[in-house]
Amino acid sequence: MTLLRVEALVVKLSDFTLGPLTFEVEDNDYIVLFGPNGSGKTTLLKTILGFYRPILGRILFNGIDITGLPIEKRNIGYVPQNIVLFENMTIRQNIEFGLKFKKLGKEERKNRVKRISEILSIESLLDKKPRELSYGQKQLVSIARAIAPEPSLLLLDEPLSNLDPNTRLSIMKALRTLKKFNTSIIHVTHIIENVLYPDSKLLFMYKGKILERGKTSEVFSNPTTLELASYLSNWNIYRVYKKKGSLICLNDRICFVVDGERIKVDDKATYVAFKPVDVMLDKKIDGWSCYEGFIEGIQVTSYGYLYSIRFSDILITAFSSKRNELKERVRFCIDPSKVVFLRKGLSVER
Amino acid sequence: MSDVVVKNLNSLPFFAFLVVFSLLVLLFFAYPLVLLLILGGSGFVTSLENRSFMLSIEVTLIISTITSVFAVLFGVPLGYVMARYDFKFKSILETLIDIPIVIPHIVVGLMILLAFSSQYGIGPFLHKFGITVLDTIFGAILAVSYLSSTYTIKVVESSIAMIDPEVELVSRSLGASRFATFFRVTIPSIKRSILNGALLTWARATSEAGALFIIAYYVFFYRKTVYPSPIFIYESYITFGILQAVKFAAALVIIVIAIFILFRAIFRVRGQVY
Repeated sequence: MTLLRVEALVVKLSDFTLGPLTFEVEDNDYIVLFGPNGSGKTTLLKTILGFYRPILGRILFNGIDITGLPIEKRNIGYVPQNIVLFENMTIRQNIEFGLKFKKLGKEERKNRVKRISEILSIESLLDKKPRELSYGQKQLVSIARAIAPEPSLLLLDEPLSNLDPNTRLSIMKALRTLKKFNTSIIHVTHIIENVLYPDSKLLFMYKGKILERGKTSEVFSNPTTLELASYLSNWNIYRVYKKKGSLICLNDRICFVVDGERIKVDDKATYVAFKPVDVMLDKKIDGWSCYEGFIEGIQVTSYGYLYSIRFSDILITAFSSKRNELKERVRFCIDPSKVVFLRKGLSVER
Repeated sequence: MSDVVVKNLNSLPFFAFLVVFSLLVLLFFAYPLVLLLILGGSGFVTSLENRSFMLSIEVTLIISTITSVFAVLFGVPLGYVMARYDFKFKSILETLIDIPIVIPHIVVGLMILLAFSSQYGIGPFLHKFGITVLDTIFGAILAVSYLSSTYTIKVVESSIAMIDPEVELVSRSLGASRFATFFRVTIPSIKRSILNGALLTWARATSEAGALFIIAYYVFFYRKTVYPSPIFIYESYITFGILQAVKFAAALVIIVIAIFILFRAIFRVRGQVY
């Protein structure tokens, strides 16, 4: 069943226009709204919530047009990016707040608070005041408070940002428990690592538009727009220098043969891209295009090193767990089957 | 070790500068007050036994308390508007809110008299219903409200501005209407600031004399003519001289400061939001 349908939505703020956007959220969906800062993710979230009024288009919730409905009548849960607990109330009162407007009996309210705080492991915090809690604990309470009235849609705005690594893992674990509540979730994030499920639906937003959509794992391994590939850090992106049949050249010397079918499909593609991990250092592999170059830069990551390799007029980023030295001469091979074709996304409506 | 010494020696002139200048101001604040309490304090009990003085205190407390209640009632919504909304001509509103602090108090007295007494503006209309401002507690409240409500508005405005508007958004997403959000979430979280603002208005209203010279030099209270206490002190000064005035002045100061401290102690108002 379709829970939420956003139709040709346009929102105009003083210096930003969102849309037109169309997409659907099914029952029990987990949707990732992914994109850089300023791409309109939060604006879209707050429009669904009812804070911004669209100038065009409509929002259907359970088949009913809620475009003009006030926030409090929508029954959509919201966990904002800044943690804002009701400071004058205890944690229990915070979680119970939404239940009071549901006309639930005292006993039922008590049971709900108990159940939610058990699932999120925050029973011991119930009688404390917000100022006594750590940042991570506050985030858990913020989530518990939003889920307490059992909304059929929950909006999470960057719930894993600004957290230290350990807290982030525990909040991530908590977010995974939300499956027990039969609620659809729209999760806003600007970092891939914060996506909870690799098979979830993903919408990539850029400058107020949805440029790519699909299964998270597929969108990330197979970007089709220049904007997404540029946003995924460290991808090698080049303008196609020469294209002749299935032969693609990045300059006069770096060329490789790719699957002919893919070139035909993406005739508008004017860029090619591949990940640093699809460039192999110091190994010759059959069928790969291999060259020799100098290491011009090294970047440390938690898994290994990213090397910038100079080859004639272009720089190629390669990943290796092996430590090489600056100015060292290295052989590198590019896996042609992993090369993707990109077009400019903003000029094409999807 | 030597590092620390050098550092301390270097910063010594700066600390000396801070201490000397701060001490001078604090001494300037304390010295006249201490002298007043020493010279006038001995007459505290006899002042309290003076019936007309106690009536004047009563009148002043009635005026300032009602003034601060009204300041909260009207100032909180206005402070909310100023903190939460941006609109055209907002700066005009800001100026209007600040103006009462700028206008000389005696002029405010004249303005209130002009605006609400029997001849001009809405005065004749009010007069029809027997509402008069000259020499009445109502008139005094109007004049004092004009002069001191700004403090409540300002304190409320700045404390609301410090609360993330997302709190209200979350409250509404949980089913609370705008009214429920305002009264259950926003107001409780600035409770202390509201009390603090009310206290400032109250203190300011208690000490008002300038505007009252015009509008309520004395008021009718229990069929008697009673001077508001600052004017009572002025009257005793010009009639009996400084030594007599000082006794009443010291008594007024002790009573006002006692109420101020008591109020703060009860609500532990310290200006912080929570």
